Amino acid sequence: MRRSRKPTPQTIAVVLALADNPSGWSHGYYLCRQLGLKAGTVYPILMRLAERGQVETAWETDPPSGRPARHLYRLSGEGARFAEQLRAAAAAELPRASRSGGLIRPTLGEAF
Amino acid sequence: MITRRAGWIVGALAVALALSMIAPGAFLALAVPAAVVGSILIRRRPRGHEDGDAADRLLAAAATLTGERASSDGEQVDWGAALRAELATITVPRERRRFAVGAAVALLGRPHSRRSLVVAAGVAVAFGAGLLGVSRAGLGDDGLGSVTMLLPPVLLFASAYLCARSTRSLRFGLETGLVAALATLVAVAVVYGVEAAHWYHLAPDVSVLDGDHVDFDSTRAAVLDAAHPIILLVHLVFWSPWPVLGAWAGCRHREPPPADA
Repeated sequence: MRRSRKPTPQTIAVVLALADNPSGWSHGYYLCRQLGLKAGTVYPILMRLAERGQVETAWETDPPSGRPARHLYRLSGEGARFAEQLRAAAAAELPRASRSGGLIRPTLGEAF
Repeated sequence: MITRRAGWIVGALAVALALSMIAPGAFLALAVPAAVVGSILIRRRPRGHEDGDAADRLLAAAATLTGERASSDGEQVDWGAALRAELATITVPRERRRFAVGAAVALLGRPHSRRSLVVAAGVAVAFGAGLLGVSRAGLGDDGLGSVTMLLPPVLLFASAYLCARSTRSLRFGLETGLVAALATLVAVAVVYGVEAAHWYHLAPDVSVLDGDHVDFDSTRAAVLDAAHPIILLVHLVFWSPWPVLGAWAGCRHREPPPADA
């Protein structure tokens, strides 16, 4: 039985970064740079999402000569639904934070 | 470079010689698993990484230790190969080091631990219950010491071997075997404590460790004699090679890694 946990800001950031690129595949290192996160943070998230079936993985089919094929990631259908849930939850959270006068810090994941 | 390497080898041999003269048993118990792990890392280093930089070697070592391979149905991702391929695209040395450290942490921290804990707890509980049964049946002439020294290595070897073989993961075997060793040590400490108190009331001058006659002046003294930290440490040192050897043996049944992974 899978436990349902509240996703961390880093997980939300990775999922939404993948969601912003729905048609194409992303590289792990690109995600690290895009989000300003370390590989030790991004890859465990990708591993978990892949194990849950929320991320699809594939190997680059035509790598340039001189380097091995890279591993690619994109959201699956289930992952896309998960991303929509996260967006909806964030949208519901924003007005509440505004009403309470709380600051919305521009840190990772808070904007989502 | 050769001179430097030779210096390391000579230094290591000198330390090994000194240690073997001071404490040969402890040296053997520690040197055997270290040699096994070292040989695994050297013999199973992925092809194409022989001349890599420190980042490359770190990640290759982590990938080798974690040891999962893609399954034939594609369900299981070879994360070690994925991370090494990604590292190959990074050219800035500082970035390579940072990425390799993070990637190694990601590989080594993969969540096998819950299964490891379950297996380890099972081994420890089974051995603890068996030890309690043996003690209640009678200490005999040798006490419980021979049981706690000789039987756990077999159990630890078997559990590490089966876990490594069934999952094709050296790390899972190592993790399970070593956690099982610690859990079994706790079980031994508990049973020793309980049984030392139990036997003190029945036969106050008998040590549960070896069945010898010892004059204890209190229950506390009897318990401390059996569950002494030094005694437990000796157990741990004696046991420690076996889960490493079990995991190594379990992994030898795996298929060789793909040439271009």
